Amino acid sequence: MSTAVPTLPEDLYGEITAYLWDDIPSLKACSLATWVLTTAAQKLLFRSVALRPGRNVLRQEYVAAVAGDDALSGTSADFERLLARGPHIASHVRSMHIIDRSYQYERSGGDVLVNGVVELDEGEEIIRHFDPDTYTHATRAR
Amino acid sequence: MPPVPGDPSGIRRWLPTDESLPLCVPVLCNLEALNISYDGRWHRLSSRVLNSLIDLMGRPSLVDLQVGDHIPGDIFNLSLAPHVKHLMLPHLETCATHRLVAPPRQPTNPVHLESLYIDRPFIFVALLSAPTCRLSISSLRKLFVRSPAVQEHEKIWQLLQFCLDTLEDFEFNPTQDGMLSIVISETEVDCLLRCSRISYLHGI
Repeated sequence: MSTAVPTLPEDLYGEITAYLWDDIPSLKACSLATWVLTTAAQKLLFRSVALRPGRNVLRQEYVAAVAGDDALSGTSADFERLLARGPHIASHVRSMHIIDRSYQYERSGGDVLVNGVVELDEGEEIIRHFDPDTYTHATRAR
Repeated sequence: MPPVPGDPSGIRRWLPTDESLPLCVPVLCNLEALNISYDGRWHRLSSRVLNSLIDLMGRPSLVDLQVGDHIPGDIFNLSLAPHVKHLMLPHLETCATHRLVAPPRQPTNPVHLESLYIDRPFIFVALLSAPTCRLSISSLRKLFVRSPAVQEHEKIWQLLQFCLDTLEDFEFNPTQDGMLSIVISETEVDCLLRCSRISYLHGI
């Protein structure tokens, strides 16, 4: 018995996922649900990305602001790892916001970084936002 | 981890010595919009980061460019992408970055803007008037000027003269201190009436 998934023209998948253009959690779900939706969902997911300081140096109010699932941001290192795992994602990026504003930093956090005695807890951040597995699993399974 | 150069504000920024951004930039082949929101000193950027930002700002695919703070004029002029249509440039700097190494063939093609947001008309007019300037606002359709400095307001009229034939939308925000200071002659008003929309925002 055949288990092949019926496919539609690629444009139609784009039309379907376009209704979710501002719903990041749903786009993530689409990306993982079936490979036929992965590309269309990823095109929207990675259309706009923001590179910002790590959460460990951000002031508390900004940590909360970047913690939600509806924000697609991360550090440049996160983004580099993402592109290493899913090189095709680079072609989806249409808009980039590079953020390094003094008022976002927690002053004492900076001192800790200078001494280099504290391990960065960027791992959690990567998983939340730029984890390649979150977005490319379906593609690789294909 | 390499030593991080200090910042006058006492914070340790990620961008000046970042090592990942230069690795990501070359593969971003379809970039259409770029917003650089960096309020540190550009001369503190490492050569790799500076070259990466110049590379990004010069992408042929780039249409929308926003540079938030204090970009030196020479970097801006050198790196401006040929097809940028929409530019937000709140804080252009007059100073040059002496570290900047010019490429063998500097770009000379004009960049025709359709919309422009600036915060300091004095510096921008000086940039436009420079012989090496690549910016052209002769096709401009939308202009937004914010200027808290009263003494800069006469420059706004100079700016308008570059684009009166095509301007459709003009917004001026003098902010609270300068809201009563702009003086436009009758002739200038006639010219401005060609615009389909003129806004005068109170900066309150």
